Amino acid sequence: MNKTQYEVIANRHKAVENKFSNSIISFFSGGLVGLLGEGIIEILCNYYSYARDDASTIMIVFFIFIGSFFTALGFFDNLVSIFKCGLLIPITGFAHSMTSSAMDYRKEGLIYGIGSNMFKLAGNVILYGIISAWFFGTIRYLIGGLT
Amino acid sequence: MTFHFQNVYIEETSTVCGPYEKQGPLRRYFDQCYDDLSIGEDSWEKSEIRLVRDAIDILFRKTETSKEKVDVVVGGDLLNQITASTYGIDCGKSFVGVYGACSTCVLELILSSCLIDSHHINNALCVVSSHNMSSEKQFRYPTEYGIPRKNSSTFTATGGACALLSHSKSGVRIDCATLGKMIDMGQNDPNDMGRVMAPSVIDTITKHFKETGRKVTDYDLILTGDLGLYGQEIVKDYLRSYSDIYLDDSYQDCGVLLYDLKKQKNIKAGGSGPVCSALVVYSYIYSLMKRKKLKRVLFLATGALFSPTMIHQGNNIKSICHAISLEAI
Repeated sequence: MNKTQYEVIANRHKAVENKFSNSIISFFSGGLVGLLGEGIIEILCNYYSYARDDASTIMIVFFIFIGSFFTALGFFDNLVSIFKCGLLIPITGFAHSMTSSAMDYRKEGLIYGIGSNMFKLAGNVILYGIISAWFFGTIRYLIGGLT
Repeated sequence: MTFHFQNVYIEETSTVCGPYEKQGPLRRYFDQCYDDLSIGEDSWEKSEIRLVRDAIDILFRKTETSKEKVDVVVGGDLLNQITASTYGIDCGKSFVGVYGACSTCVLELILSSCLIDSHHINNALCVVSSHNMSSEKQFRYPTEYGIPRKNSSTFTATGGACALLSHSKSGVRIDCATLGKMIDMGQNDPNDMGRVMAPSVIDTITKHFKETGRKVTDYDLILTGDLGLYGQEIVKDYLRSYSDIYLDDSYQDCGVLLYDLKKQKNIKAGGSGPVCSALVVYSYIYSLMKRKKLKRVLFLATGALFSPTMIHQGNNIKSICHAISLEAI
């Protein structure tokens, strides 16, 4: 069988992905999550007299809880299939990846199950998040000094 | 590599399926259907083991034979160390574990037929299973993780299926079989298995027709395992363009037949998994053949020999396809 001939035929029967509509949905759903986050910060600052930094920490904790809680109840994955990556890119997606991994391996025990596998997907974000923070922090230091 | 068998029959079959297969068009042909993917167990692996046990129990209930009378049990599934088969099978005088990914079902039938036809054994039980969640966990992402799936991706079927093969004459005879070879066509997208496996179907079907001297018209139905919507079109198009094999309406794919793809949108391109083709053939097709609605069927089970480790190390996915010809008598 000839590989080039096969590629030509196979390309004729390729599934069409709805990349454009998926991007639009993700753009708006992700934006909605951001808007909700800003709303929470504003409420905490204006009605409960929180400092802005504290309010954003509480907002993040709230979204982590929501992401994990909905995953545990078993419907966060259904929400992702509707709202696409708009729910995976924010901190909700990070919480979702950790909770889903922990849930999958809970039957294998606290150490070999949850402990060894909880960071299976989230480990990437943590590792490369730290590396890029160090990298960009260094650039920031070299350009602007400590101030 | 085509063998002809003289005296091997499918005495009885049994099928157990999960909720998604129950929503499909073949529901009434299955012996038992579950509404919940957990199958009453507390882990996905145990759920699959339960499917295997249920399928075996149903088969023995139907045949009214005792479990000790089976000479060889041939089992296989997708899990590491073929766990569902080794933990789920508790019968027979001896056990053979096989792995052929989604082609396991036909591989089991071929190996069993060889042993029976050569009079080494009297009967053999072929057991195959897969579970959507246990496969997702092992091959892809955590089961609750909501990664968006591509339209070309296939959906691992949930179920357990058994076939009892013996010398005793029954409605369906195993006529001949062609063993396929592993094919590497440079494909490496685990979300498009139809494209990975289509070359092995093309290779095996060409070999089968060449070695038997038969034509497409000699079969009432030609059935591939789990190529899905796009894979089956690739096979048809390639064979039409580069060979004299013209597959018409008598060609179907089990992955497409098992589900109602218009209503069940999450299935995407079709079903997959070792039990996908077995659920279709051991229930629907077997029943049509027993009623003589189909005289001769060529069943080509396709398998993607996919290892996540090797993909991450930059290798391609190899595929394999084994063919078996079934005849109604």
